[in-house]
Amino acid sequence: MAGLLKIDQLTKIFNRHRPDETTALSDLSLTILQEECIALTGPSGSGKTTLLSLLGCMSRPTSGNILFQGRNISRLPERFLAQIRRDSFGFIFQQYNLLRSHTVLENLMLPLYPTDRQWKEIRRRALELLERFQLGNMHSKKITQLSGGEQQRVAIARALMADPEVIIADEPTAHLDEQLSAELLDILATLNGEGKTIIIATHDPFIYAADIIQRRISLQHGHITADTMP
Amino acid sequence: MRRLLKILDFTLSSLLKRKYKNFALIAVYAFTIAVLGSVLFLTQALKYEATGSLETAPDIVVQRIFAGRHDLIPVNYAETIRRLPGVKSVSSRVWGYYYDSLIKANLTFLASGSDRQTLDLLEGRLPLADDECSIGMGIQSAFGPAIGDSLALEDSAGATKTFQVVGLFRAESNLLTNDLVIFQEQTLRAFFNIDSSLATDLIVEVYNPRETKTLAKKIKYHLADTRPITRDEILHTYETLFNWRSGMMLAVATGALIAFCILAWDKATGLSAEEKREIGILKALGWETADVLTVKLWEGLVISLTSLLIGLIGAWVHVFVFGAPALTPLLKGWSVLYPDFAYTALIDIYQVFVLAMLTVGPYIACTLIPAWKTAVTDPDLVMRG
Amino acid sequence: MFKSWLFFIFCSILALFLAALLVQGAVTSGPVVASLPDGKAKQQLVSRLRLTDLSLCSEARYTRHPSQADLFSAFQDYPGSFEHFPTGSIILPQLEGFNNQLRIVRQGEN
Repeated sequence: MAGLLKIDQLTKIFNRHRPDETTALSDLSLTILQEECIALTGPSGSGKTTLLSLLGCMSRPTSGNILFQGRNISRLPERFLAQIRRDSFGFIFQQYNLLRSHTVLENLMLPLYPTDRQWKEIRRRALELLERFQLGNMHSKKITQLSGGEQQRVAIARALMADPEVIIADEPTAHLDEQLSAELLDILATLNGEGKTIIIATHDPFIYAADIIQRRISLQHGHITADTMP
Repeated sequence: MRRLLKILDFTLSSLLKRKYKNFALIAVYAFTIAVLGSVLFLTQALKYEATGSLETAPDIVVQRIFAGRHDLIPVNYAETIRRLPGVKSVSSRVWGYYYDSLIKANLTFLASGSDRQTLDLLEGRLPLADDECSIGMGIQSAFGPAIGDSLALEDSAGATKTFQVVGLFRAESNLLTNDLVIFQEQTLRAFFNIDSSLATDLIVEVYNPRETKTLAKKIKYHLADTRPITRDEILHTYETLFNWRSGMMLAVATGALIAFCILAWDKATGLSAEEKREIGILKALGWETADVLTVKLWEGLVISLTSLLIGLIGAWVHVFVFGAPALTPLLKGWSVLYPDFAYTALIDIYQVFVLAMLTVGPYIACTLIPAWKTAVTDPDLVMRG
Repeated sequence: MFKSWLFFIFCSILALFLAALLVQGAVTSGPVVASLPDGKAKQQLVSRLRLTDLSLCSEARYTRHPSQADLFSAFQDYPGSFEHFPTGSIILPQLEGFNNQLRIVRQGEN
């Protein structure tokens, strides 16, 4: 398995040169292989979310490099970052981050609006994914009319719209009960089986101990304290 | 292109989600534009009407100024003027005002010229006898006489005289004739007790219009107590009058526009937490800053363009179909005899463009600039809730 | 895309309607009012009756005949009134033709 994401001496400092300066990550190096399923763990404030957002091209490091498929992306202009983010990463957020007043279908189509793809094609793709997640009959419903589990599935479906290589999930089970968490794990396992690389930040022991996790990385105060492969 | 259309579609759905708010916004915005547009259309129409009709006004009107006030002019001044080279003819004009204390209206009494031809915009005829008169529509609608009825007026000696109405000016000429009562010159002189050696003012016709200004100067030179008013000055008066008027009302309306801008700014700068969150989500999903700004640009365009179109059409209907009922009180003031006339649809396209620029531009800026700040921040903020 | 097209169609209809109104106005305008239906007749009226002003606001001399009023007429018209608001604040007496100037002659000068 080849190295998909490689980070090298990565440091991220917030509010630099100001009294409230905080170092979220310092001098972190890590290689993530293709088709890995990684659990990222650590107490709040350990830097999990910061690391995820750097890996997912949502922000830029203060120093150090991020290589994605061998290409250094840490200094790319915003425009290219947005494009990589759209094409190669799918995000599942803790809060779902769906547009509440829009319909399920519109939410799904969102990532592909600013592309040159045809409307019909995007719509077909969205309907396919809804079908796959048993949401086929809900495409014209508003997000506010869905249950928590359904919203979670919509969020997952949206992450898959652009058929990304990497799925990044930040505390995906924080608002889910045990049954729904299990359902989510099943879906993630299937996606991993389809060849997607999965990175989950969590402190939910249910996920941490799950079978699909191939590697566990612990963070504390911006440093890696453990990196194990069970 | 496809990208723009898709983003427009997204923008429209977003706008429709908050439809009450946005329709209210469009209504207020369109109303503001309709007010500004009405002022613009109305003053333009009045200006064209005035300058167009008064193109045939006398070349020069010569008044006498006595003790700083307009006074009766000796008819023999005409002899002095007639001798100036370039003068075609000089005639005297007699006119005055009459106040009716019952309906508190001011009427204008005017002596007709000597020729006996009929006028296209006059029903009936001009007065030919001592006890005849022709009247404007305003007087007819205020007092109610028809052709054949008589006006009973109190002359300068306090005696009541009756004059039979033989002519009525048609509604099309209201803007010029509304409060007029036309008499024969001798009748009016007797009524006002104006001596035959005096007149209200003198009318000078010239051969060459280019000499008008010079002649006016010469008249002033030879007759120092006179004030010559050229046709250009009359036209200029109306030109500036309606600009002034327009400016005045625009100033009031600009206040409304500014208030609206503050509202828009407030709405847009205070990007609600919800809107900020939406922008964050879009960015996290791979939208570029430019895409987010495109949404905001579309949003501004959709709202302002719709409002502009509705507002302008509204202004047109208000002014040219209904006769600007909302603005006439301003024009009317205390006039009891206000001419009720239909405005001819005359438009200065340039001014419409200026109006469009002045309303659409600031609004788009108001929506775009505040979004800019949110749109350029890193999207990872949404991950932190 | 449906909504976009709907919006474009809506705007186009309004814009065409407006354009039709404006063009109608623009075509009939131009410098010659004489080309209007009543334009010629109005000009005939003005020249025959030797009119100088519009009968728009008849409440005072300087508003009824703005081009003819002297500078003091603003203070002496319409019985019982001291100001003709709002017309009086919009229409002012014209200064054209009044160009006398007060001059100070010092002691010993001519």
